[in-house]
Amino acid sequence: MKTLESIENTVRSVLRDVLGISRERADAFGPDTGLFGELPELDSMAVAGLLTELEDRLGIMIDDDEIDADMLGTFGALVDFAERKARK
Amino acid sequence: MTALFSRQTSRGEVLSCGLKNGPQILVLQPLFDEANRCRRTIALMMRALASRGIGTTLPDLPGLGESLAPLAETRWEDWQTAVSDWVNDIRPVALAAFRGGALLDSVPGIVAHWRFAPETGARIVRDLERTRLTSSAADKDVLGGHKLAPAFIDALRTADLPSHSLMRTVRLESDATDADLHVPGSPLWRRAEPGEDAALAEALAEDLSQWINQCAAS
Repeated sequence: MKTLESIENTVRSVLRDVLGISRERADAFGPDTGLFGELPELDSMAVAGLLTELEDRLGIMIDDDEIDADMLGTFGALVDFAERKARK
Repeated sequence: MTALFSRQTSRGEVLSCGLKNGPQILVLQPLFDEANRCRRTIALMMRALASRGIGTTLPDLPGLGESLAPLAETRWEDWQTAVSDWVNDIRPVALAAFRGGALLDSVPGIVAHWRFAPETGARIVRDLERTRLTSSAADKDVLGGHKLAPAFIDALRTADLPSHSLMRTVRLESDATDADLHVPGSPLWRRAEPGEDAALAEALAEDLSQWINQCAAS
């Protein structure tokens, strides 16, 4: 089972890869860092890529009805969501 | 560095690189917007292959890239026919397919199939459908911003990766799926801002050229 830290690292590296942002910028993300609606790089295409990469790298399945502005709203919310899914 | 040049085929102009009289490889790009995001890295790979004496050709599928064909009227068979026609024109020793391009790599006369991060049609359609979750477009014929014929979407959704006896699959290290080789790099096809990855292009060119030479020797 993946630890919380490794899940957070996976979410961070997926964001870095999908958004094409620097390691420094991704490493500076905290629980309250705004994502969807805040980061211009996170457009609808990037959201789709983000979800698929999270599924592949965490071995989870995400249903469309689980996706909303809240779970994508902040880095902390996205990590919480990923952790819940990975522990199921 | 070898420049890319325009080459005439029976299906219009395509981009080529390297000598015309050496072994040739036909490169099948990722589908839809993924192609734009990978293009610079693929061009770097083509140049790296040219420096190894291998010529490459990179066509745009009907309705995509520089092609003037209307995508909304394109049928899945049109893509298959286009690939067959380019194979007949170029007579490649191998097909090198990226992502969804591998769905089209089953062509008579081609023995060697090299693939990078191949993807099934179902997963490609799923990605495209997911772009709707956070966009205002609700039209079911519009996928990832492209208007497509419903029959085309159905054909793509059910398109599986053909299996071949002589086949090599390369994937990224971050991808846990089985492959003959995993290489470092990031999934450029996901990036909103197209980048280029020279190290990845070089690694792919090295693997592809070695494999082609092995195939030729056996």
